[in-house]
Parts: sequence; structure tokens; C-alpha cells
Amino acid sequence: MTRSFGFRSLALLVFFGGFVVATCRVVRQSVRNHAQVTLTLAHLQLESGIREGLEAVARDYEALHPGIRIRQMLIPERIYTSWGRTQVVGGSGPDLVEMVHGVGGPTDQPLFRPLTDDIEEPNPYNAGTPLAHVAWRSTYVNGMDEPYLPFQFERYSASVFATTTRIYYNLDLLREITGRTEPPHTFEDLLGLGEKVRAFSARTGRDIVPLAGSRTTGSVILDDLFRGQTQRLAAALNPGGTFPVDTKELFLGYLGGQWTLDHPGIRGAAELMSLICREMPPGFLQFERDDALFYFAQGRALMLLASSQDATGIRQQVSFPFGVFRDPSPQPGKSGFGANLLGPSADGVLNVYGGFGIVRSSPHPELALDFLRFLTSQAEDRKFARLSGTLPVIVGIEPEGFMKHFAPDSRGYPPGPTLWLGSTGQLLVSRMHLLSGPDGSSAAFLDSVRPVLAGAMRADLADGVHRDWREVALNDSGIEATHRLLRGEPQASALQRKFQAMVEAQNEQEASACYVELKLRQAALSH
Amino acid sequence: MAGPTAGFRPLAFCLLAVAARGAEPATVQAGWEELAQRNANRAGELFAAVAPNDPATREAQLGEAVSLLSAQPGTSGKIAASEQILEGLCAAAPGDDPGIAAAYYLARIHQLQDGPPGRPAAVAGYRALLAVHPESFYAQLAAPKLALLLLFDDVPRDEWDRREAEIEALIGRLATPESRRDTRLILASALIKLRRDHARAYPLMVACLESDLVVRVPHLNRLLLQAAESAEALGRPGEAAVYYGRFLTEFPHDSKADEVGRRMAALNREARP
Repeated sequence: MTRSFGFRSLALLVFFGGFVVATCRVVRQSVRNHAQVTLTLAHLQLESGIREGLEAVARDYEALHPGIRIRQMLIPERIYTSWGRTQVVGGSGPDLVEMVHGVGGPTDQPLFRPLTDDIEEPNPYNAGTPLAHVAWRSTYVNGMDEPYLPFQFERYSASVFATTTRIYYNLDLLREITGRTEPPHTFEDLLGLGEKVRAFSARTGRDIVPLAGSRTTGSVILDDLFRGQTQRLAAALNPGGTFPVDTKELFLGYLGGQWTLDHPGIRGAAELMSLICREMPPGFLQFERDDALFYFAQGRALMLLASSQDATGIRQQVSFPFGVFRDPSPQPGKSGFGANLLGPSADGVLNVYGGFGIVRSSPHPELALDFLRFLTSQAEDRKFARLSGTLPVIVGIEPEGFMKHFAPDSRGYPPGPTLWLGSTGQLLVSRMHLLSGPDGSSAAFLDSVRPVLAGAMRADLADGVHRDWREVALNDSGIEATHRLLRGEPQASALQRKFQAMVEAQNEQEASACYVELKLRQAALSH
Repeated sequence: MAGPTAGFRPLAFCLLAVAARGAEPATVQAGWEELAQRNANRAGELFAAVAPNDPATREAQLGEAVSLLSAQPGTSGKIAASEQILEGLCAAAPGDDPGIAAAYYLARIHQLQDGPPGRPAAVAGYRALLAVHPESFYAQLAAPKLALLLLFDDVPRDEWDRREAEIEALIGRLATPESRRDTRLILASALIKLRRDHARAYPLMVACLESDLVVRVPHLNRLLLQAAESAEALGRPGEAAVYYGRFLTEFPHDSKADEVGRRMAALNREARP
């Protein structure tokens, strides 16, 4: 009897305990469902306007989705890479992360949720607009095409704004120096203005430089001039029957003896770079963005090379009226610099920025995707561009007001290949002082580069091939897995499309690596 | 009959069911899903945990071997372990699906892990696959790999011509349009880049463009311009204008659109009587 009573008591206790646990769980889940979900997005865009623009879009989203809160984390640029990678790898990071400065690079990508399938579907937040039935990818001005990742078949981020580099000028100071407010329209005008600034500076004793630039923007103008001057050279190389020729082909052409540093395009590029370096303060390639802005804001530089997303901040920091123009380059012609050009240089590929990726460890990946779609819908991108003073990335939105000056200029010939990448780029930057120093000249620059250029190019190409082979090997397993999943779902069209794209990309990448290896071998044999 | 513990049986069953749910057995499907998400280490664990008496054991072994090829950190020990599993699969049943797959991945190891010295073995592996199992999925994957290894190689002219003929003949025998597309495009690329032979490359590109087989957007962008430039080089301005026109339709916002529009206008003027 006592034993039976004991069992019954135990049974009742277990039953009651189970009931209490189950009730607690149900209540807790219910409370959780009604509590606020916070979605965090981390980025390094500390420029004025961008934070405010994102904040406005976030408030719109919250109004549409009560119970969801969007929080921004602003991380300084100098710690962004280490901070971002630690957060993403550690799985403790925010839900959405700006994939830039090495965060979200090839080794981190498995830690992000691919958007490849999602971008093929229309963005639901474009409902009621002309983009209602357009694939999310195609709502982007650049079709979400990343020229620097030609073989990547997975898409991990969606960008929010685009950027261009322009020359800002101080209207009051320009009037004081020249008696006019019209900016220079040609490269020769720009050099002539530099002469006037130097004469004014000597006459008045005021220390003014014609043009302030930083490590980032300074290399943009140098690269623009270089890429304009190599148009004709690149078109002549063109072994693949497409244009513009990429940097790999330019390097292979040099190693294969198809051009030398004495080519008129290269001599012209070095001469133009030397001329523009003389307009900027000594050591400008060591300057950060803020150092250059300081020159301009203090009235110690007539002009400033800066990005479109700096416009709002510059407006807040300077007390004088300013204007903006595109850096002029020589015009095509029959002689001189113009002879190296096939046409006026277009701005080239649209540089998109602010690409957010969804961290795989996010507890709310679908919510993060939904917010990303909202942020990049036509209406919200328009709003963000207006409030942040940046360039929109979605089709059908024109830059408004002052930002019209920054609109990408696609008229003309697409820029030729760049030399400013990898070891080769570092080599050129390290010799840049020879272009503008007291005894500097384009010839001194080219002579110093000549003995070591081939080695740097060879190293860059070999690195590229090594990277290609590593990616190709890693992608084999993805291709096999997708094939196996397709067997179970042969009608899954998105999976089928993904599989096809993976195989196609892998074959392109392998063919490219084999071709570069072959040309490197042939170049080594011919030397 | 009903003893004092009888009332606990349902509870015990419930607890067992919950416990069983918590420790779901590893399945081959779960492994492939992890691998498709690039979680090679987790996929490898799942494949390795598939029971030896499971009907999908051979597929699980293949999955484990393929996972090892991209497991992080990548080491020569993992590649060697993968190779050993693949060799075992081939030896046990070379004609079934995992056996054929294993032969393909062994050739891939020769090509990708052994560097240039392993390429002759990779070529031999791809050729054998195409000869013995020509209709198989893996033979379709192997064809473009064989093409690029044979064509982007520094060999005497007559040897290159012989290899080019081998690839051209192979295209006609391939079972899937996608495999024909990639093999054709590799051949076209080699003909243009290494031989400047637009006359033979152009029809290969046209065949792919006409059948809308190019899936990747950046690839289509390049291919349309290549076809247009080849048509121009061959003195066919009307056809070049068609490809430039298609480029403008597909990529109206591209940074090259302005120059393409100018070229197309010039070609149309040229073509006008």
C-alpha cells in the first residue's frame, strides 16, 4: 500500500513538474514573440549623412514592422578589419555587416548567408513600381556585377550607394586668385590654374597649394590619367577579343615583350602623373582623407580631391561656398597626350559601396534579408540617397540637387587597365616621389621602376593563379553537393540555375588560370 | 496485469522519442546540404557518421572524400585521406555512380593538388572517363577540363593541332548542352588567344549565344563583345552590329555601353547601301 502510494506520488510529482515546465516554456515563448527583436548592422561609413540616411530607413522599417528594432554599429575604419573578422568568425557579430576592407573576403564567405538565389527573385518592396517584377539583381544599375570578382558565382551582399571621385573647389578663393568662378574644363586649364595659385601664393605670402588629395583619392586621379593614356596600347594588345583589356593582359603583354616602358602611352602617363603630382602637397600619398580635408577647410588648398560621399561632411565643415567638377584629362587628338587616347575617358565601372552581408550566425537571417530588401528598394534607396548625400545604386533614381555633379559619367571610352594593384601598385607608389620631388621627372620615375617592374608583375600574376587554383579546388565540393541535392529535387529551378552557374564559372576560372600559367612559362623561356 | 509501473510506460516512450529526436542519425542528405553551404568540416563529420550498414554507405564515403578536399584547414594529410577513400571506391565497384565519381575526383586531385607534374595523370583520368562512361554526369564535367589542359599547353604546332582536333571531335559526342557550351567556349578562347583564329572561334561562340546557354551575367557580357569583335575581324559588320545591339539590350547601364553604341552606329552606317 505504502509502496503503491509512493509510486503514485512520484508519478503525480513527475506529471505536475512536466506540466509546470511546459507551461513556463509556452509562456516564455509567447513573451519572446511579443518582445522586440533587435537587428544590428555594422559598418564603417562614418561620413556625415550616411548614418542619418540609414537611421531614417530603419525608422521606416520599424514603423512597417512593429516589434522590430534596427540598431547601427559604427566602427572606425582603422580597426574595422580586425574587429569585423573577429566578430564574424566568433559568431558573436551583428546580423548585417558591411563587407569591405577584408571583412567578408573569400576566406570569410562561408560565414555569410549567400544571396545568390534571392537576387534572382523580385524585391517585394518594389511592388507597385516599374521594378515590381524585375529580379532584385537587375534593379541595380550595375546588375550587381563585381568586376573584381569575375568568377564568383555566389553573391553575399547588397550595396546601398555608389561613389565617384571629384575635385571640390573653393569658390571665394578661386575668385580671389583668378577674378572668376569658372572651374577648369581641360587638363591644360587645370595646370594653368596651378601656376596662378603658385604666383598668388608667392605674391601674398599665403601658403596655398592648388590641389589637396589623400592616399585614396590621390591614387584615383593618378590611375585615371594612366588608364586614359593606355587606351590605345590596351586596344592593340587585346588578345581575347574584348575591351577594355584587363590588367592581367597588360602584365602578360609586358612580360611577353609586347610593350616596354618606352611606349608613348606609358611615357605620356608618367608625364601626366608627374604634372599632377606637382599640383599637390609633398607626400600627399601618405595623407589620410581627413588630412586633405583639413588643407581645404583651412583655405590652404584651392581644390580638394574627395569622394561623393564626403559631400555632406564637407558642406558641414567648411564656411565658404564650393563647387565640384570631374578631374579633366587630355582630349583625344593627333599628337601629344591626345594621340594615346581612343576617346574621352568614361568614369568606368560604377563603384558600389556599403554592401551589407548577412552573417550566418545571425539569429534572424530571414529578417536581415527582409531589411536588406527594404533598404535597397527603389523608394528607400531614393530616400537614403537624398538624406545621406550619396549616389543611388538602384535604376530609375537620378541624383538630386548638388549630388547631380557627382553622377557617374559613362560617356566616352571605358578606362584601360590599371597598374595600381598588388605588388606592382605598391612598387609604383614607393617610387612616386621621383615624379614630383625637386629633381623629379617622369624619366627618373620610369628608370627606377624599369629593373623591378617585371618581377612585381610576375609575382602578382602568380599570386592570382595560385588564388584561382585554390578557389577552383574548393568549389569542386560545392558543385558535387549541389548536383546531389538536385537529384532529389530535379525540378528546383533555382538550384539548377545555381549548379549551372557554378560549373560555368569554374570552367572559366580554370581556363583563365591555365592561360596565365602558359603565358608566364612562355615569357620566362623567352627571357 | 497492470502493475504499479504500467502508468510510466507512455512517459518513458515519450522521453525516448524526445531523446531520439535530439540525436537524429546522420544522413547522407544532411551531409550534402552542409557541403552545399560550404560547411565542409561539418559535412565530413556527418558523412563519416553514416552507419556502415546504411544502403547509402558508398555515397557517404564519396561525400566524406569530397568534403576532405575542401575541409579547413587544408592539409596534405586530408588530401591523402581523400585519395585513399576514392581509390577504395574505384577498386570496389568502378562502374557504379560513386565509383565513376571517385575516378573523376582522383583526376581532379592530380590536376589541382599535384600541380603541373600531375597534369598528365589528370588528362589520362579524364580521357578514360570519357571513353568508358561517355554518358555519365562526370564525363560531362571532365570534357571541358580535358580541353583546357590540352589546349593551354606549350606544345609544338602540329601537336596542338592534333589536340584541337581531339577536342573538336569530343564536342559532338557530349551528352549535355552545358558540357558542349563550356568545351566550345574553352576551344574558342584558345583559338583566339593563342592562334588569333577568329574564323574557327566565331561559330563556336555563336552556337552558345544562339542557344541562350550562357547563364552567368558577367560571362554573357564578355561573350557578346567577343562575338561582335570576331564578327568585325571577319568582315561581317551586320552580325557584329547584332551582337553589339544585344549587348545594349542586355546591359543598358554598363560602363562600356557608350562605346558599344558608337561602334554599333558606325557599323550600321557601314552596312547601309
